[in-house]
Amino acid sequence: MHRERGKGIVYSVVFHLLLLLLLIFGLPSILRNDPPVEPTAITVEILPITEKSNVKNSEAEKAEKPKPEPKEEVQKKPSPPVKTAEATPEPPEPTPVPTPPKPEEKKPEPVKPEPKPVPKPEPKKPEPKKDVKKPKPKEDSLDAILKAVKETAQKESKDQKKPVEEKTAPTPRAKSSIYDPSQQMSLSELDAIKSQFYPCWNAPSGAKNAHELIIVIHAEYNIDGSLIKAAIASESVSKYNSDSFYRAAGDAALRAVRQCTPLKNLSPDKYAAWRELDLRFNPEEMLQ
Amino acid sequence: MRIFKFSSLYAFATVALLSFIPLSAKAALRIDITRGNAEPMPIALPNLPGNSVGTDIIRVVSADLERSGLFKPINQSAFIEQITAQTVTPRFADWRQISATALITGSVTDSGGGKVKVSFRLWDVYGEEQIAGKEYNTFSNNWRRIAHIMADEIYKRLTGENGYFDSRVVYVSESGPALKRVKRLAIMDQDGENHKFLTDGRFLVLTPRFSPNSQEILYMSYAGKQPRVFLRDLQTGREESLGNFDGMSFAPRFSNDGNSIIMSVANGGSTQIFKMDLRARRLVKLTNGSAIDTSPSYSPDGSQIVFNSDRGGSQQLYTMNADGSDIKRISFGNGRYGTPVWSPRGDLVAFTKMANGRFYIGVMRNDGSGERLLTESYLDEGPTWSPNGRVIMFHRQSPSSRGQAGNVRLYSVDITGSNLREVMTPMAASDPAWSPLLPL
Repeated sequence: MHRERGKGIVYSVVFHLLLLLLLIFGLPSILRNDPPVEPTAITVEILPITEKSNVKNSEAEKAEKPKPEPKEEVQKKPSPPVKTAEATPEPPEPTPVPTPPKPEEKKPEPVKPEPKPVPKPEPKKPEPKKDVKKPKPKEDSLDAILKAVKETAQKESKDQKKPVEEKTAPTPRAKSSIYDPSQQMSLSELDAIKSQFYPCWNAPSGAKNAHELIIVIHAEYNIDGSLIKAAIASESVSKYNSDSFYRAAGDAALRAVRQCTPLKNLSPDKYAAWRELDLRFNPEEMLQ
Repeated sequence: MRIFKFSSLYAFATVALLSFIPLSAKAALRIDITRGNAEPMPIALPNLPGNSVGTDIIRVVSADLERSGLFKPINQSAFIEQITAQTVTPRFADWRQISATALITGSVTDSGGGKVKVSFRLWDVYGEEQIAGKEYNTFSNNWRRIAHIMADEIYKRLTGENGYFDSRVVYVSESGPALKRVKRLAIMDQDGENHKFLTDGRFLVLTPRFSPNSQEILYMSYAGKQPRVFLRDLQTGREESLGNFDGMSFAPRFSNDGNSIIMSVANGGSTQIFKMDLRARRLVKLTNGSAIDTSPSYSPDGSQIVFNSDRGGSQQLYTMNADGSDIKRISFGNGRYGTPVWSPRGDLVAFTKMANGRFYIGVMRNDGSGERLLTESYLDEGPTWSPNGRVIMFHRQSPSSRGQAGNVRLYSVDITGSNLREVMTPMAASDPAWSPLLPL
């Protein structure tokens, strides 16, 4: 009897507890006296979108991996002669002349980064430390050799960095096959370039079929932002030569490029990205 | 097998090559520039050395270009380099210094017998190259026309479209009180110079229109028992009535080849559009019904006609084929639409709109889309196109008071809606009609 009573008490206690819990958690709006929802202050920190918007293109990266070095060589090799040839009439341009050879000097080095691609991170000094630590547990016997190699490499790189840092950033050197933030332009940087052309471009707003007068200008720049040369891009040339409206619109776009020089506030670190621009002058939005 | 191997190798090589093309084309970073400015282009116009006519020519060229609203002639006192007859290539840096984007050089030389040789070169200051150059031989008293032709050349090279400066305007000159208004036909250069009256004001005249060769004008006159359409030769001054109709004939306009005209003829309660062959004087009726169809205007290719009609209940714009078939309504906005005129460029139709007690001059595409109102006032009416389809001239009237007619003046406006300017005339003026470019 006592046992049965005890059981009954236990059951009733358990059920009451369950009921209580249900009341507490099942009807929170009635039981709880929650304070009215106040707009929570959210602190917004405006960060430069430079790095954020500079999204790595994995597909492009994959595609580029097998052939990046030869391509860059092909692209970069012809460029120095163009620059020097253009620069010769303007003697006071020491900066552009030394820069083109640098990437070439760096190319032989990519042999070194090849064992490194696994660590990849951008920071310069932490890299070697991590690299040195990682191999330790794996092969102790090689430690001495690796250390010796690293030390000599560090010494060399330090020696090289000093003069390079004065002129251009050292980062772009060993990352040709990896995602390289220095070679990509962010949205804010692209906007900065665009906005510089707005005051210079006299758009053909009243011309017949003005929305069709889209002109592409191919322009090349020195590292100080000054224009080396600008011309109607090959895709626009035939129409430029045959249509008088298009020709006038092309001339207006060319004038804008020649007038808006030098380009300002462009990072010399990303010179490789903005050295050649295809500027597409599109009046369509202005006519809406 | 060999052939197969070779062809497959060839195909592989081609594919491999093609796959590389887009990669190499990616070399330059592409940037879209979608905003610009509509500021007038600064242009330097030094006087043409060699003859005093050179100064007069540049004054007229400068005024033409400035009036277009697309150019801003730079004050000559700001010039650093002095252009002389010996100047071969200008010092571009000096002109960039004063923000000139284009520069004119040239000279005027006497060729004897009252004739002069006028030559000019147009330079792109930033491109550092000559982009146009012309030479004209003419009598020195013809300098004003040479200036307009020169301005047209500059305008064409820098904007891509033909100029409109070497053209004339015929209009109705008005004087006197409202109840005894004197209306005379008058003609002038587009800049207001060389003004002269064509009629003496004994009869009321309305709606003058130029022929395609600018040598004749059509207009409506109240000379005779009832108003009708007249044709006038500008060189001889000879005028003739076109046809004897039972009703009133009005709103005439030439076809693009000048061989026929279209006009409205009112008879009874309805008004219909007719086409008349000017040589055979044969009349063809293009519209039917009991509505009022009027203000017809040909498209530049002559294949279509735009007109206004109240056939739908209110006055709206319609298009039809040149033979009167396939009538389509193109205006659907609030208010009434009238006086449509097809642009010489063919892309737009200008019109007068009446809505909420106000008048507007506007443009729309040929299918009625893209309606834009360019001006608004108590009374804006009667648009006419510049020969290049870039500028619209019209008349604007202020309200009349105490028996005095409201002041009525000619105005011009760019098709972008900017650069509204009064066109100076000696007296009150209405009903302008812009000529095509004058034949050289």
